[in-house]
Amino acid sequence: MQNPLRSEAEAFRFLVVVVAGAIVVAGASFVNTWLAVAAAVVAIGGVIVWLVRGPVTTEHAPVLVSGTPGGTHRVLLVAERGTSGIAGRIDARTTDVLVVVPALVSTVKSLTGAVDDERNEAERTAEALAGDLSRAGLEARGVVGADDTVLAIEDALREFGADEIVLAMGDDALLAKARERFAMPVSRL
Amino acid sequence: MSTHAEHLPQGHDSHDHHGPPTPHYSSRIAPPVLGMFLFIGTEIMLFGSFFTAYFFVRVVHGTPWPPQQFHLPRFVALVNTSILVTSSFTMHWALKSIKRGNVWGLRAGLLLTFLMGLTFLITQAIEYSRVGFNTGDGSFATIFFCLTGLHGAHVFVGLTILGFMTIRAFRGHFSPEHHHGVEIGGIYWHFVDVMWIVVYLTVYIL
Repeated sequence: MQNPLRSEAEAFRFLVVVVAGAIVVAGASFVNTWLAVAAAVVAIGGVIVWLVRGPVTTEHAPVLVSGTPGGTHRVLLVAERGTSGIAGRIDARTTDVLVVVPALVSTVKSLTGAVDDERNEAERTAEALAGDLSRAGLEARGVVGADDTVLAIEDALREFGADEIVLAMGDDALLAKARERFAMPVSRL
Repeated sequence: MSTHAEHLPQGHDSHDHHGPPTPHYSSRIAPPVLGMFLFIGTEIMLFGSFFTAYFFVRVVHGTPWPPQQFHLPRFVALVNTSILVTSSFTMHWALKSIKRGNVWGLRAGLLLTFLMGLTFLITQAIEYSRVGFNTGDGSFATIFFCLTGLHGAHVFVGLTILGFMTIRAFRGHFSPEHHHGVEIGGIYWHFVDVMWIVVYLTVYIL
């Protein structure tokens, strides 16, 4: 869904759309007041559909520069259940890692709350990955994330100020979504 | 320490930072924009309460709009609407100009926007003095003055913001990289315009 007040450009575009709708309503009012009311209802509905279905065009904010002290590089590593053997693929300058394994489940399991098996497996993966990274000399710990990958990253960032997000899962769409949502570098292993 | 914004002073890190830690900033929506968004949300609720009163008076209570003895100055309001909508175009032009590094475009755009906003407000004040009814002349008059007056108050606030923006523009405070003050003020000004179109349609046209 578009946010018509996200930027001046989008607010202006929203205004132009509203002006177009207003012209239709004003024109209908010359015929009949109730026709104008009907036109207003249709115009409001059209604007809502436009807001919901329209493409989201945003002016990208610059990627934020790290503020961590020199010699420290904190990575938020996002992996799916069952991932292993990625300790050697982490950037050499990394010092701290928080491993997040989202507990992704099917919609039915999410609705019924039958997520214990998936969460346990996610926990095992997170602990195993954190153990591998610790043995490689990094400060690492693992946590289980929400059942939505972007939400899991968002939750993790609230307590872990990462300099970089590294995805060890997902496709290009997830990568693009994460880059859109988070203001730090995002890459994929 | 977490990631923080680019504009912090050089050498600023966790060792020389005093007070609460810098809030973590993961969203691509800048905090000032988010603040303006929330503010406008409250504004929509405020206008919504006035429109509720309008619909109650007109639809539920069935008050004639306008009552036979009164006349709404539709043409003057239409001219005023045109002025306000045009001011949004100059506002947009001002922001486009500073993004391209055209400082004089920014200054001219903001000045024109301010002057058109001022014209709108003065015209509305003159319209009030000549409209032929006052706030105490029944529910129609009360709602008319409440809705248009509430919007007029917002135009006044917008003009104040525009005034500061214009002064800052002439003092050279904005650049292609730093023009957030124009962006935020522009969002507010477009919102005020959108609200006027809704007020104009409901009060004068329908």
